[in-house]
Amino acid sequence: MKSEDVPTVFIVDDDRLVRQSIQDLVQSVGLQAESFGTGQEFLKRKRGDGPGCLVLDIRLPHVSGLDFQRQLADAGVQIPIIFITGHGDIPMTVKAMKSGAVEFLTKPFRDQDLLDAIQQALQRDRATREQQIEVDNLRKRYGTLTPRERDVMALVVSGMLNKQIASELGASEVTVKIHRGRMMEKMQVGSVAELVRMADKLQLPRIK
Amino acid sequence: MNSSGKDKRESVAHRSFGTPRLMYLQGYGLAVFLVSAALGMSFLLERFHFRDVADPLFLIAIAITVWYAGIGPAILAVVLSGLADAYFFIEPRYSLYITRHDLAHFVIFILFASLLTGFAAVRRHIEDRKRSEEALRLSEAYLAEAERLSHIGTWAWNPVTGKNLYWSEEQFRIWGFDPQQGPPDIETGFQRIHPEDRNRVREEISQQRETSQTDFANDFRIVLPDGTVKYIHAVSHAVLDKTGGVIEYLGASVDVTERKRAEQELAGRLRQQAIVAELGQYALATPHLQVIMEKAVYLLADSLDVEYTKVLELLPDGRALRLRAGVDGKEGVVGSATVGADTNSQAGYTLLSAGPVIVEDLRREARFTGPPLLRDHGVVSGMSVIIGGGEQPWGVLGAHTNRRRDFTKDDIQFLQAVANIIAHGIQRERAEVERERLRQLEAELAHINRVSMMGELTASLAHEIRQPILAAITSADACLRWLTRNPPDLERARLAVARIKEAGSLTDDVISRLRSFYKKGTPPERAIVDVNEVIREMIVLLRNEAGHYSVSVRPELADGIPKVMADRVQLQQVFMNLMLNAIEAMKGTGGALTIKSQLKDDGQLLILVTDTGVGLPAENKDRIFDAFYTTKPQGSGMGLAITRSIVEAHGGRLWASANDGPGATFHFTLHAEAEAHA
Repeated sequence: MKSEDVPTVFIVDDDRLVRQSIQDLVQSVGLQAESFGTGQEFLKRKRGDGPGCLVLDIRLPHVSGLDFQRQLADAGVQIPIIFITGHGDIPMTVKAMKSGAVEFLTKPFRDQDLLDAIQQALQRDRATREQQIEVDNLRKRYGTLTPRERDVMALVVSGMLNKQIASELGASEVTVKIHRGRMMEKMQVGSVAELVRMADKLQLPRIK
Repeated sequence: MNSSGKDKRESVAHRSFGTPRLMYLQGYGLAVFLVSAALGMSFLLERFHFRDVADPLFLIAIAITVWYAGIGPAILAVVLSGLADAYFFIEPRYSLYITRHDLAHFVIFILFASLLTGFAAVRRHIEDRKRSEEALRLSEAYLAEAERLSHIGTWAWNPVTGKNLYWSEEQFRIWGFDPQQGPPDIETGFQRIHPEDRNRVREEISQQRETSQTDFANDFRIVLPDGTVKYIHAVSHAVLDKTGGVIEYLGASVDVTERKRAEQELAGRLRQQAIVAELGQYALATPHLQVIMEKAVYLLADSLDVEYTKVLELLPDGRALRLRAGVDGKEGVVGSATVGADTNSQAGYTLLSAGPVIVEDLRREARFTGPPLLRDHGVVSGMSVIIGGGEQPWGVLGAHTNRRRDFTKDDIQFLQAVANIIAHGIQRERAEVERERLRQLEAELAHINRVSMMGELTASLAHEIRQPILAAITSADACLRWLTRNPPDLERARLAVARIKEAGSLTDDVISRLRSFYKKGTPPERAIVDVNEVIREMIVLLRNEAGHYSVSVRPELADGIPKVMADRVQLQQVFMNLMLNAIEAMKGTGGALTIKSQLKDDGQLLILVTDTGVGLPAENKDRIFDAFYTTKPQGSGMGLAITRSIVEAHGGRLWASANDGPGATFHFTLHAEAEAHA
């Protein structure tokens, strides 16, 4: 495993002792951990490629945890968030869960609960990342297609036969066959069913 | 006694009645002149053929001479007249020869002239003596009157016979003897001298007689049969004969009783004034009423020379008086006792009569019945005055003695002055009690204010305490995991424990800060306080509350500002109130709370608490500092009122102003401690 692949846990809490102790706990189970006093400091940090998760105090001064969650989404930063909340913050908790928080822990929490939540979040991040890598690959392949090949691909995915495609595109059946063969080769697929799954992952528009 | 005295008397007589007596030479001159004039006139009349006018004219001249110039010049006038008559008018004229024929005429003339002279001289002598006697009589009357007026009696004493030769009327009066009986003998006189002075005077006199002095003076008291005491200043003079032996003693007794009394009265008044001044100063310096009263009764007894003095306090039910302080001549300070506030006691009567009461003789007192307390002590005379106490009299101050005594107006005034000092002390004590009550009330109110503020902050404060506890628990979990690793990571475990310790002491800090704020700080304690430190502490306590309402707290504290003399808890309360108010003003909107400290040019600290909230009410901007004025549904309306009273108690000022932008700023000043720089 490369160092970037080592999972990293980020902690944002304005209370120095609290964030240091959480960092220490995380490190004691062999995970990498970094802590920040404010969300801005975290944003400035360049993240590596490895999986990660964010432990966030829901009551941050200036910018609250919920606002920060929104800021991350707006900035396109995808990272699972574990919220730490006090008593009586139920409305906030609900909002956080709706916004896609992985877990929320009420102070004082059991250390194992936090660690479990972290593991779960990392797992999710890892899966998300793998998916992301696959999509990225497909995109790359898709990017090599010529406009004609993309048209052919779209029509193949929609379930048309070569003849139908040729009439649709106003080309000869032979020409369509050549485009189709090159397209299948570039996309590295052997069957139409496989191509349909790829198109789904790429979220290409379906043509009826 | 003697010629000089006689001269004096005569001169007095002449000044008032006498024909001026001519000097001798003038007298003889007059004789010569008158005889010459008679001679001249005789010649003149002879020219106009008057006959034998010389003799009558000579007789007239002799008569005038004898009247105005006395017997000597008159004899000269007779001789001159005889010679002139013989020479000029008796035949043969212009010769002293006298014929037998005319001898009878001449002899008859001389005899007649001599008779006239002798008769006039006798007559004159009688008249002179009558005048002298009259003058003497008047002079003695004046002297007696003068003696009476000046209280001086005179006397003469023969040391050889031991008899008093002479006592003047005033001497009898002063010493209280009957003039009809004549001067008393010397021992009877000595018996009149006050027993305490008698032997001293005897000794003084015998010593004086042994010396060769002739003038003496003695001072002593005499006691008359009716008990009257008089102060005598006696002077005496020894009259010596040619050999130096004493013939007699002359002297005067001056009754100086009135002067002595006046002196004593003046001295007494001065002493009383000094005591009033001393007691007044003492009362100003001593806050303890009981001490003032005890000193007052002691000083009173001492300066009035009485056996008993007492301060009686009227009990709340108004029916009895309680002894608060007193002096008993024999037993020192007396114990506790009460007397009725009615006519059964002098004190009660004093209250009823609403003025000073003087008792000349308790045994004959009719206005009230002598209470057993006084009677048992054999009290005879006394006086009492009211000790004022605002609307109601507070009590009675009294002084009593076992002797018959006439208390003067001065004595009563003195007693009243002392009573007034006690009354002043009472008022001061009452004011002090009232102030103390207000202080306690204020302290309680301030405590209630703090408690209610804490109530508002419970959630925030719980968080403030829970945070470090959470850190400690989590660190402990981490520590356990470091220890259970294989091999255990002791260094990391140690670091975790250090953090646990830090978190623990932080928790303790917060709790003790809360406790100091929460406790009932009844007596405010001033100490040197760092205002910036107090502000930082309050920010710690309130940051959570602020965060909860999206209020950011921004301290802008000037470095190196001087410390202040203040009660720390009260100062915390001031910040707590102002900051909570600011947060309250921004509850709906969030905003910024700025706390600024700075040192002004005049050496005062200025602290500004600024919010960006709803601002001050447009009207009645100043009413926000009034008690019970509130805009909050749950507010007591006491916060700002208490805050202002705390700031003012520290010698500062608190005011509010509207910001240019949204919100309000509260300003207050504090006196910086001159030397104690941070």
